[in-house]
This record gives sequence, C-alpha cells and structure tokens, in this order.
Amino acid sequence: MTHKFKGGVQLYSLKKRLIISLAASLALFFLIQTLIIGNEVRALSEQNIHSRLEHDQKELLAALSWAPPAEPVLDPARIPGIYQRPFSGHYFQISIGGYQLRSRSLWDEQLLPVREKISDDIPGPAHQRLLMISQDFVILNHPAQIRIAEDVSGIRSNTASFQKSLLLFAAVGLMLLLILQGTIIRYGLAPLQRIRDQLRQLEKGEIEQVTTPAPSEIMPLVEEINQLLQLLRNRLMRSRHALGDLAHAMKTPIAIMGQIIERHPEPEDKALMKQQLQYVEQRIHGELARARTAGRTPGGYWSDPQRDIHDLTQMMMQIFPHIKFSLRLSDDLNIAADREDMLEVFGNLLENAGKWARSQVECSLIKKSHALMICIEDDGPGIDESQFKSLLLRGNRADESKPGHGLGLAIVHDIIVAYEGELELARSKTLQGLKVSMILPQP
Amino acid sequence: MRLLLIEDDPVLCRELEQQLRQQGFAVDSTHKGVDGAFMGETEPYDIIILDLGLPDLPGLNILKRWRSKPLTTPVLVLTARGAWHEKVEGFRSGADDYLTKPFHFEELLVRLQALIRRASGLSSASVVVGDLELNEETQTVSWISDRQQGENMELTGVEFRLLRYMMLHPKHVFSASQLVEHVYDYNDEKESNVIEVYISRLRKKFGKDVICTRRGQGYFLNPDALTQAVDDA
Repeated sequence: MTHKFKGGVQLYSLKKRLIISLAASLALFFLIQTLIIGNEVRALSEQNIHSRLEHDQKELLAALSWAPPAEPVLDPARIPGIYQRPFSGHYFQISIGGYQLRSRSLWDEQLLPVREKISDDIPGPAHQRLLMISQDFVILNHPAQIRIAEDVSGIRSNTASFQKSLLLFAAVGLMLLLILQGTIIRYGLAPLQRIRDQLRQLEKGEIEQVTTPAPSEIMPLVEEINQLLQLLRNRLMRSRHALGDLAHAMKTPIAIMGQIIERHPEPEDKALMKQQLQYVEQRIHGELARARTAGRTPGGYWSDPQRDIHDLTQMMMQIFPHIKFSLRLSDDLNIAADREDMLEVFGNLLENAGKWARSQVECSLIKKSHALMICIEDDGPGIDESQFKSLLLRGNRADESKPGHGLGLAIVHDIIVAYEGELELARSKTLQGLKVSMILPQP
Repeated sequence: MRLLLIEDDPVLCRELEQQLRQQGFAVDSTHKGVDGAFMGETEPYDIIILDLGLPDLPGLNILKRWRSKPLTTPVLVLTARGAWHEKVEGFRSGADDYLTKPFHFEELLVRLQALIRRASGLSSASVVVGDLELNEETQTVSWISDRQQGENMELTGVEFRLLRYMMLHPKHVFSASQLVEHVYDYNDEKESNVIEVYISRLRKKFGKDVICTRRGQGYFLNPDALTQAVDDA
C-alpha cells in the first residue's frame, strides 16, 4: 500500500519492500542453482561416456591386426557386442592405410570426418546425436585414425528433464518460501500495524495514548509519541488555566473601571474612556479566546456533543425566552475535536443568533464520512453581504449596540481555521436572517 | 427585593452594591465564598449574584450545594473567564443566567429583573398587576387604563421595594416580618411597626382595598382592587 504523503512524497510500504526483495533474491538463487546443477550433471555424464569411449578405443586398437599388403582385420571376439548391433548407438570407424573399417552397428552409414579430438553433438545414423572422439595413430609407418562415437541424445533429454524437474521443484520451493516469508513478515510487522491502527484511533480521539506493546526497535518512537501527547495535553491545560486566571485578573479591574467611569461627570470624556475600555476589553477577550483554542490535536475528543448542545440550547431558551431554538443532530455523533473549542463555537453562534433573531433559531449538526457539517441560522435582520469579509477578521463588530456579534464570529472563525475547516456566511433561505455554515474535517 | 451579592473583588463588590441599592434592592454582600454560601442558605433572598472565581470556595461548588438542599432562588452567575464550557458547567450546576465580566450595569439590571419576573411566573417584559404598571427603571408606577394613562406616581425607596415585592407575588399572604426580610437588608435597622406604616402609605396612594389584611396572618395584594381602583380614583 502506498500513501501520498502531504508534501506529495510517495511513501513506501515496509512489508511490500521486504517481500519484493526477498522474492527477487530467492528466485535468483534458485535459478542459478538449477543452471549449475543441470550443467554439472551433464558434464559428469559426458565425462563418463568419454572415458568409456577412450577405453573402447584402446580395446579396438588391441583387436586390430594388420600385415600389409593384406587388409587390416579386427578380431571380432575382442569387439564389445554392442558395436555389432545395427544402430545400437555405439559406433566406430577406423581409417588405416586407405582402408576403412566400420563397426557393424553403423550399417551403411559413415561417421562424419572431423578434425577435433572431441566433438559433441554431431549428426549420426537414425537421427541420433553423437559424442565422438577421434585419435590419430601411426601404425607401421601409416597414419591411422580411430573414431569412436556414442549416441548422447538420451542423456541430453534426461539431463533436460532433470533440469526441468529441478526448476519445478525450485519454483514450488520459492512459492512455499514466499508464503512462509510473507507470514513471517506479517507476524513480524504486526506490532507496526497495531501501532498504525492505534494512531488512527488516536486521531479520531477514541484513545488518548498508544498502549500496544511494541518491539524494542520502535518502542522509543511510541514512548516519544506518548510523551509528546502528554506534554501537549498538559501544556494546553496549563495554558488554559493561566489564561483563565489572566482573564479573571484583567476583567475584574476593567469591570470596576467601567463602573467608575459611569460616575464621571464629563459626558465627552466618559464616552471616550468607555470606548477605549471597550476596545481593551474586546482585545483581551478575543486574544484569550484564540489562545485557549486547542485546534486539531491527536486525542482531542468531544465525548457527549448531544448533551452539551442540548444544554446549551436550554440555556439559550432561558436567556431568550421569546425565541424558539430548534436542533437537528445526527444520531451517532462522535466528534474528533476539543470539547471546549466546540462549546466556544456553538456558544458564541447560538448566543449571537439568540440576540438577533426575532423568534426562531435553527441549529443543525450533521456527520458525514469525513466531515462535520454545522449550520446555524436565525430569522433576524441578517448582515449585509459587503460586511461578511471584514466580520471574520478579529474584533470587528457589525453593530455596536448589541455587544459581541462580530467578536464572537471572529473567534469562531479562528477556531474553525485551527481545525483546517471552513466557515461561510450567507443569508438564510428559510429564515431570511444570518446563516453561518461550517465544515469541520474529521479523520 | 433581597439580593445577595457574592463577589471576591472588594471594589467591584462595593460599586455593584451601591448601584443595586439605588435600583431598589436590599443588598447583602460578601467577599467570601464560605460566608456567601451560608448566607444564601439562611436568609430568604429573592435573587443571588454569584461570582464563579472565588478564591476560597469555587462558585460552582456553592451553587451545587445550594441546589442539592434544595434552594430554588434564582442565581445569576458572574464569570471573568468567559469560556463557554464554564457557562455550560454553571448552567448544569443550577445557574439561571450568566454574565461575563466586564459588563454594563444596565445589562446586569435587565437580566436581574428578567430573572425575578421569571421566578414569579411572569412572562411579560414589565410588572403589571390589574391596571397598575411598575416601572422598575424610574421606580415609579403608572395606570395603564385609558383615563389616567401616562401619569407617573413617584414612590419612595421603601415604598417601591414593598410594592414591587407584593406586585410580583399578588394574592400571596406575607407576614410583616416576612415583608421586612425582603425589603430591608441584613444590616438595616428593622422596627416591627415599620411595615404597617408603609402599607398604610401605599393604601393612601392606590386605594384601601389594594392591600388587604388577614388578621393574625399578614397582608396580601388584591389584583381585583387594582382594576376597580380606576373608578375610585
């Protein structure tokens, strides 16, 4: 299995790589082995034939008697019987002093004249293939040549079939070994597969730590992952605590200043101070909300979104009793996202909708295979399209009279961006007010 | 209206207390969660403002403790952290409303009044009994019948508090001591006959039958008299 890595780099599979290299080396080994053994067997049998032919040659020489000018003769009792049967596969031919003596087995045929001492694979009688040795002698001052040959086509085909069966055995062996190797590799890499499965679960937020036992080679990696996760979680918790304390420490004095400003007699100064204070307050609120955002962290999991959203809507109905909040949620919601982040998204959007709606707010949360579709719309006045873009920037407000609209939207936008999601503002088709739709990618 | 304010910052606490008094609340305040928790359990408050970030005892714990008693007084939660999970947590622990610091005093006031009305079972935006409408911002009352529409009648602080309390609980019989507890705060000098004096003042303004006496039990507001009162006046 190959995966496209994010940068476009092709990732290789360890298993595939091991199996391919093992198969290639095994196949090469078996092939070479088969060739060597086949050749060796053939060479061995030819060597055997060769020495027998040499032996027969010596016998023939001993059986030869010649007293010129008479014809040379062979003593038939000393010639092996196999040379007497026609086309037996064993032949000889002796040339001496212009005479030709041929074995009876040759019948009418002749052995081809050759110069080489040993010649292989030459055509013989009855379509036989012969191995022939020829040797020159000088007998009584006359040159003589004894050619002696044996049919080797049988041995040839025997060797070939031996090689074939050797090859077949090698192929079967190769297959069996590959299956065995595959099993061994699968078994050997099983911890890796388990870790991979756990990492996927981790991404979905189903588990918090990699718990599967790993071989010592990759244990440090697993430990490092776990440690980093813990570190990330601790850091998030610590920073959230610190941010909460900071918010508490900053906002109470701002609240007091606000109360004191109210008593200020100069209306111009008062308005100016109020404005400045409000600016400081918004900045603090916005920045703290951004800093609190966990974003896409492995192990982030919203355990009970139904209950949280339901309670949030209940809360809204208490605060805005004249507005009807309707919810549409997928049944089996398990969302890989930090709960606090998601509550921030829904809280801000539902509160905004409640502030602006005349009588109705609709909220839907639908889980698709790899994304979460969130949509919140109201029947309020909505927002002019030209303002959509600037609203999503931090700290811009659509309307100063009702606090928090723009800031809330900007915070929500920042959170959605931290999850690599998308947020879109539009006019609601059904309710005519503002429609905020978001897509949150899910592993 | 007896109001309990639990806020750990002394300056904010003092500021809020002052402004709430001006708005006709009988305010008791404390900086300490432990004291606040105890006061909430022992005094008959009509509404409670609770800061969640108390150093000695977390506001949420106090709230959970009260709700398990059970104490049903409406509680408005103040939070400086402004995180939504905290607001949800507050709501689950039994808060009726929340406000994030810093806030405008007007917003706090509007939320408090809405909570009080909701607790009394009123759904309208203002307190109206019969033809009499209570204006909480100006601390006045006016008739909403045709003839005398728009005529505001001024009330003194105690008159306003007493009338508001009785208008929020019409037909409900209160003893003089009960009324004292909801009109005065803990530190006020309370005299037994003071309620009688204010009841008779209110009767003078709106008619004799508006507040009826039930011997040995106490007083109650008669809504029917407020409709008829138009003819009397």
